[in-house]
Amino acid sequence: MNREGEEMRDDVLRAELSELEVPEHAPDFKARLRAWLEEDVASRDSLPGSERVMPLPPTRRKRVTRRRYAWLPAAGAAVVAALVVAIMIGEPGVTPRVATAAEVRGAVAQAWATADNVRGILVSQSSAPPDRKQEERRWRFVITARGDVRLTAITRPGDIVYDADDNIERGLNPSESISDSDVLFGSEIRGLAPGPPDQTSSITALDRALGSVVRALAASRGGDVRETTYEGREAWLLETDLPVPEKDEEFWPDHLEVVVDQETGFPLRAIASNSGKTIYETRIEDLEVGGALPQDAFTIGFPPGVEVFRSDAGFRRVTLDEARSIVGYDPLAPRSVPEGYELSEVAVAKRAGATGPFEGNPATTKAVSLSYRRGLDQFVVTTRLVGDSASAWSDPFATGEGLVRAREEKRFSSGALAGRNGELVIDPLVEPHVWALTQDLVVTVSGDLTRNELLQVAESLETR
Amino acid sequence: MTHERKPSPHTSNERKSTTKKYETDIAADERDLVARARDGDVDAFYSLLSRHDRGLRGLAYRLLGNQDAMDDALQESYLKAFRALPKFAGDSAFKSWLYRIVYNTCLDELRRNRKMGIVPIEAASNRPDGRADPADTATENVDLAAALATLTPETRAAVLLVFGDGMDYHSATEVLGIPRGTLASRLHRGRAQLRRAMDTAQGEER
Repeated sequence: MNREGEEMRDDVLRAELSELEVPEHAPDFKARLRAWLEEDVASRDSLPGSERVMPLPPTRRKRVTRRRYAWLPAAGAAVVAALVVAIMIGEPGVTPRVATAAEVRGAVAQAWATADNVRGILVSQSSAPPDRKQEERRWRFVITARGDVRLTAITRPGDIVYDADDNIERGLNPSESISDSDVLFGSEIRGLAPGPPDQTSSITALDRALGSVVRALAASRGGDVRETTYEGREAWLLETDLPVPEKDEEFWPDHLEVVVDQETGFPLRAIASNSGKTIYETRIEDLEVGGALPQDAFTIGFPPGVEVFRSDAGFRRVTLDEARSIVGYDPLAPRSVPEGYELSEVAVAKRAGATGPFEGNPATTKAVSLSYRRGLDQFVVTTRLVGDSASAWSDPFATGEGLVRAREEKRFSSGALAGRNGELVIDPLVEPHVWALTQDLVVTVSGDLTRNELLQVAESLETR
Repeated sequence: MTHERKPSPHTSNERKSTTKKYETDIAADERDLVARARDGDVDAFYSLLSRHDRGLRGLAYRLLGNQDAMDDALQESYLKAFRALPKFAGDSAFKSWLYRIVYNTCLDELRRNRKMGIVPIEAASNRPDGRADPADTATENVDLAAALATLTPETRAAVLLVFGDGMDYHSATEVLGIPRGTLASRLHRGRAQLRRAMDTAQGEER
C-alpha cells in the first residue's frame, strides 16, 4: 500500500478510535472523590507533611470499606444466584443500602480471592463429650496465597510451618499422647498433596477454622444475615440451621453462627451449637490482611537433640505430561475454571494414604491432584484408580463414621463424567465437593467454589 | 465531568489567531488552576480534571476493560495527582503529567491482576457497562474494540494516545515514559495489528 493509502487508513483509524464509546463514571464517583480530596486537605491542616501518610481510597472491586462510606455490595456470579434475605446497612446521613446474605458471601469470596496473606491469632474452644469440658487453644497464624502456613501455639509450646516452595511441613510440638508434657518432638512431612481428600498441609485445618465455614455457607443456599458489632468492629452475622443425624443428635451441631468483619470480609468468629450449647467456637483476634512478612516467616530450625520423625505422603510435583506418563492414564482436568483461577500445581502419587470413613476406601494408587488458586482461594481436582471393586468406594472426603448430612445425587451430562452418577456435598462442616466414579477412576472436585461452580467444573472435566 | 470545544464560524486566519489566543488563555488558566489546586482548592482541581477526564476515562477503560476498574484507577490516580501537585514543577504540561499518573496506575493494576491470573480485558466489547449491545452499535467499532483488546497494554496505550486522543509524539513519550523511537515502533506494530485484526473480521463477515 502506498503512503497516501496508509494516511487515508490512519485517518479512518483515528476517526473510529475517537468514536469508541467511553463509559461515564458511576453516579457516586464525583461525590466519593470529592470526599477523599476534602479529607486529604483537612489532613494537611492537622498533620505536618512528614507525618502525613494518607491511605489511597477504597476501590469498588477490592470492597474495602471505610467508616464514612456505605458498604459497596459485591457483584459476582454467586451473588447474582443467591438470596432474598436482606438487611439494611446505613449510616447517619447516608442513604441506607440493602445488603443480602449473598452480598456478604460475595464480600468474603472477594476477600479470599484478593488477599496475599492473612495474619492473626486463632482461638479455638471446644467442649468434648462426654463431660463437655471446655478447652481453649490459641495460635498465632500466617497464611499466604502461595499456600505457606505458620501456626505457632501461644497457650503451650508448638510450631508448625509449611513452606509451599519445597512442599515440606515441619513441626516442633509436644506429643499429643503425653499429656501436660513440654518435651518437643520434631516432625517433617514431605510429599504432601496440594489439597484434600489426600494428606495435605496444615492449611486445611487452619483454613477450615478461618474461612471455609463461611465459604461452605456461600456454596449452600440457606442462611440468614444481620448486622452486628463484634469487638468494636462492624460485622455481619450469618446464621444457619444444620440437620442432625438421629444417632448422634447430642454431639452434632444443629446451628452455626459466623461473624464476618465488614471492613475486610474475613470471618472473625464461628460458633457451632446444639440446642443452644456451644460445641465449638473459633475466633480470630488481631486480624491483619496483607503487608510484608519477615523473610524467615516460614522457616523452622530443629534444636540439637530433638528427635525428628520424618515421613512422606507420597506426592511429587510434576507437569501434566509427566503425570500422564507416571500414572499411565489421561488425567482429567477442567476445560474451564471460574474467573481468576489458575492452575498452580500438579502432583502425582503412585501410592498414597487411603481416604474415606475410617480411611476405609481402597488404597490410593496412581493419583493425580491438580490445584487451582486465586488469592487464598483454592480448588482441587483429583483422579485415582478405582481398582478391582468400585462398590468398595465411599465418599473420599468423609471422615470418622462418614456421616454427611447434605448429600445430593447428581447425574452428569457433559464432559468425561457424562452419563455417570456422582454426589454433590455442600455442608457447612465439610469441604464443598463433588465425587464420582468412572469406569476406571475415582474423581473429586473440591474447594472454594459455589455450588454451581462445583458442578460446572465437574461437567467440564475432560482428558488432558 | 465533560469538556467539549465547539467549532466557531471564523475564517482560517481568524481561526488560527483565535485558536492560538485560546490555547494561550487555556495555558494561563491552567497554571492558575494548578496553583490554586496545589494550595488545596478542590474546585480548582476539579476544573483541571474536567478538561481531561473523558480522554482519561477512555484510556483507563480500554486498558482495564471494565467500568468499575476504570473508576477505581481514576479515583486512585486523581487522588495521587492531588497529593503530588506540590511536586509538579510544570516542566511538562499538566495533561501529560496527569495522563502519566493514570497510565502507570492502570499498568500497576494490570500487573496485580496478572499475578492473580485475571484476564486484563474481560470483555473485548465496545459496551462500557456490560449491557447488551443496542442494535445500532456500529459493527466496525465493536471490531475495533475487540482488535484493540488484542494489543499489549503498552502498545494499546500508544495507539489510544496518539491516534485516538490526538496527542503529539512528544507528549505521548512523556506519558508512556519511552523514547520517541520506541513510541514509533509501538505505533507501527499496533497499527499493523489493528488492521490485520479488522481486515480479518471484515473478511469473515463477507
